[in-house]
Amino acid sequence: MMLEAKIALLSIAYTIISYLAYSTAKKERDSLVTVFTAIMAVALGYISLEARGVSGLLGFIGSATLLTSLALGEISKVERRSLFSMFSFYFTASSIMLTATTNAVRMFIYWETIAMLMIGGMVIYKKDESYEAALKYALICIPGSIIGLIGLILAIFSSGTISFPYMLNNSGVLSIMLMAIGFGTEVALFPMYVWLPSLYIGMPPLLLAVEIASILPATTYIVGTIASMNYTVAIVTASLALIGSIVGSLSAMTQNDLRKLLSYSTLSHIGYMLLGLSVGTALARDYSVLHMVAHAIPKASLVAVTFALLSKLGNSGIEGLRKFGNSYKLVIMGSALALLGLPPFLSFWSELYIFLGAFASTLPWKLLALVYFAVILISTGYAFKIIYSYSSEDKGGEYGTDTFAIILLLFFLLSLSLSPFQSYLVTYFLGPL
Amino acid sequence: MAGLSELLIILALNGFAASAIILLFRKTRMVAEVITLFSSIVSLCISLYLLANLGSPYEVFLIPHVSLLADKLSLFFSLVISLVGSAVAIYSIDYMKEAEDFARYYSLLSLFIGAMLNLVLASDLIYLLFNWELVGVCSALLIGYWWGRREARRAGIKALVMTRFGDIGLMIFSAIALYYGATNIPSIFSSHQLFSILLPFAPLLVLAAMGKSAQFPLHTWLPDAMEGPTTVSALLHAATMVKAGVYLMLRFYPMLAMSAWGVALLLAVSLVTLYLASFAGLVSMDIKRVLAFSTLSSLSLMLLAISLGEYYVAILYLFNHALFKALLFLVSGKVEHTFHTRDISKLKGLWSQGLRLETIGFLVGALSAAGLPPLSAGLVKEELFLYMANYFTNIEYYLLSFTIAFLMSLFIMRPFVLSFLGAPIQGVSHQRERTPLMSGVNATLIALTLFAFIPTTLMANYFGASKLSFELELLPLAGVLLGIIVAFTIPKIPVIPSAWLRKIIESSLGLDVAYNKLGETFSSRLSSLASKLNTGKASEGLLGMSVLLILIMIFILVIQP
Repeated sequence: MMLEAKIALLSIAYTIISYLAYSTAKKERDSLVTVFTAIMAVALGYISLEARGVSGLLGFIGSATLLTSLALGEISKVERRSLFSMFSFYFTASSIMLTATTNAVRMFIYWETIAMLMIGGMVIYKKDESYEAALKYALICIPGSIIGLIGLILAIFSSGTISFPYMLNNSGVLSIMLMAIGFGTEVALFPMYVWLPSLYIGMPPLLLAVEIASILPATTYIVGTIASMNYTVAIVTASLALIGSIVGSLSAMTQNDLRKLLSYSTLSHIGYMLLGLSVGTALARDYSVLHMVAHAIPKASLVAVTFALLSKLGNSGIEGLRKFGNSYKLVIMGSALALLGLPPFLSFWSELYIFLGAFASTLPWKLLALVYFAVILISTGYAFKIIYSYSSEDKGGEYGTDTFAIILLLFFLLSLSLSPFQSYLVTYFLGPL
Repeated sequence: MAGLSELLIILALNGFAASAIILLFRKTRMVAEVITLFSSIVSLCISLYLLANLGSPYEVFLIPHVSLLADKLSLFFSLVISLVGSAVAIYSIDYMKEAEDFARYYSLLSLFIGAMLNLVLASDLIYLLFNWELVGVCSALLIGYWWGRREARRAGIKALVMTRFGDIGLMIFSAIALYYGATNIPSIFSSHQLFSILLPFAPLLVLAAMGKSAQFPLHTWLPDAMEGPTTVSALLHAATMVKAGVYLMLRFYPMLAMSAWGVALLLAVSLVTLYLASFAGLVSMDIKRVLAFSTLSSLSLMLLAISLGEYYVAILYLFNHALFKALLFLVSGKVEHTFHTRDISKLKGLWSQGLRLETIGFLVGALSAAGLPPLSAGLVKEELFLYMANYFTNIEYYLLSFTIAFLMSLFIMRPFVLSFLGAPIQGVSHQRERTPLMSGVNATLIALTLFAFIPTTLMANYFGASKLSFELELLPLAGVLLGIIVAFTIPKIPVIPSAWLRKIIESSLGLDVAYNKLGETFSSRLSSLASKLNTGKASEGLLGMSVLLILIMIFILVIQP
């Protein structure tokens, strides 16, 4: 059975059982749904690991993040955990299906499902800022989806097929461009990134952590794959993505709110991934996919730290970080360095090979690779802003190691422990180069 | 070879392991100290053993793109790294005993040494690049160790950004090598085809070396790196980080020697850096910054030797430099530890204040740095001058050798004369603290520097440098002596350059000021401009999308139908 079908069946089973648990067990439903979701997350991870491919790799890291997020949510006793668990599961499952499908129509259905899930995820706790974020997201991404849909319809008509890979190979530049730009809104392609900082403020952090490891990579992969099908579109998309990277890196430097800083950092990293995917060389593409994992781990860890900040201090100001010592400190500093793509973290390899892959291509790509390298240099500013938040004379460290920190540390250590095996990881999931 | 392979793996990995263990047992100071020391000494012993038992070079393949190479060059470097690393580890026990965040220090120190060892042992370009970057990260974090100080934070970031700027050279070179499947370094040299393909890109390696070895115009991070603990400076200057660039040049020497552009670039940057650093060292009033400028000039000498084809002279000078620079830094560290200042104008008459060992240590180190024979560093430097005569016209040679010798000698002797000799400042008192380990390390380094000609001769033979003559060149020798004499007259000459002039010269004719301005522009103006781009209004996102679509439609339908 294909991965897509397995995940679909699993999702149906999950929906039925979790709905039953949600409706019948009034008092214990939060814990019950969370435990059941955790079991399903393990199943998702196992199926992904077995299936291999891009969807396998993304499913694997998505499941690991989902499990971590559920554990963190459970020990923190977050409100409406059952809803949070369900959204987290659907985020992961729909992302796997999005990358696994070879059918253009189903791809669009999953795409829209994800958009609806994003809106739903943002308004889980019915806060004003969340409604505003959801509205902003909808206002930009729905027109984007319509443009993407027009491109998709054009592509289906011009190629005469709904097989996604075949359709892409036989589509004209116009349809590919429309799809890349239209669907690009969902990955905050410049200049349509306005909604991204609001998302980081509006979406509950632990759900956002799952989004970073599931929806973000899956949608980026689709946009990058579409763009890579035509040279002009690829150059345009990569250029826009890198402009977004520059803007993101520079904007992140001025942010004093960790959530906003991380949102701009994400904008910057989306640029790296899109560059690698658009180039079209196997090396750059594979390591872009790896970068989705390499970026997701430290970013999701830092987003989980914002949850700790919010619950303990009531705000996500960057100066509050120094109150978190021991294991938290290790996670925060390590994640900042990992976001910078420095060794010994997994992101070093992915960022390096994206550069090498792009530079080994034609002249425009060489130039874009140099811009990409410049962006990495600029990103030193915000990464060290996080690290040096500990440099105050106020020693801080009031919040030491607790269960939350230990779980977070274990998850973050994936970034270190997977690093020596990066080539095996790529070969196992994506095949030999 | 099985036993040797395992030893090589231990040599490569024990620094990393030590770093991780220290983090695990972060509460106990003694554990951190012992593990750091143990790891360095293990590395030193293995390096010595492998160096003594090395037959032909051999490689150990671990995982794809991660492999180790044991040859004379890599083992020589690992010996220097672990020797200085051990000295620094012992010295740190006294020097860092007040530091509260000791686990971070020792863990990073072990990682730094480990990364540098792996850098020199790497037989694959990608693994070399990995450690190249890791060395940069560790140094930035160690330079910014006292991050409560703004200068330390800035210096850490500056070191990382400037060295990474140079790293682009190595990254592009690696990209090209990877494209041709030529990342194994020995294979590059054994295959004529691969060698020929990569040869035109050799200047990129020079660019990488310029960043790490702080050569013009990427040299301004090194004097600022003094903001870190002195032990870090000693390690950074004597054995790690800045030596990485020299190592790269030596490792790729056969390729570099064939590249006219590469040689010309290396020659030009080393000469420019040498003069800029010498003038800056002449006016600086910070004892550690003077030492940093001395490192710059010494690195330039090594690179100059490489560019002139004097491979062995560069290696031998590197060894001597490691000893005398570690000595100079660790002596200065003791002075700073005692007086809590690095300002030469506030440090007077240290000899008469009882810092006898430190005075002798600084004198021995400074005379070595000045290049006075029969100290070993002086003999090797003379050797370089001897060979310079073959590459330059007479006038060029006289001018270069005399001025280089004179300036290098004058600026390193100046702080000695001003701070260690003469009468102490009235009313300034200090508390002498018992620091037996610091003193012990300094005494050992004095002895090693004084008798460095023994290992230097052994090494010359080991590397097969049979043409080393140890003859003395009269003109540079006169330059060295004149520099020393002039330095002794400085306290009697009431000429003090104005603060403005000092700043200009110290900042490499304003280059550093320009960099700082550029950095500030980036970090403040451009970033605030970028954040203003997003006002948070959805309408602007929609407008952006519409404009983009219109532009793309025009492009597709009109320009490229």
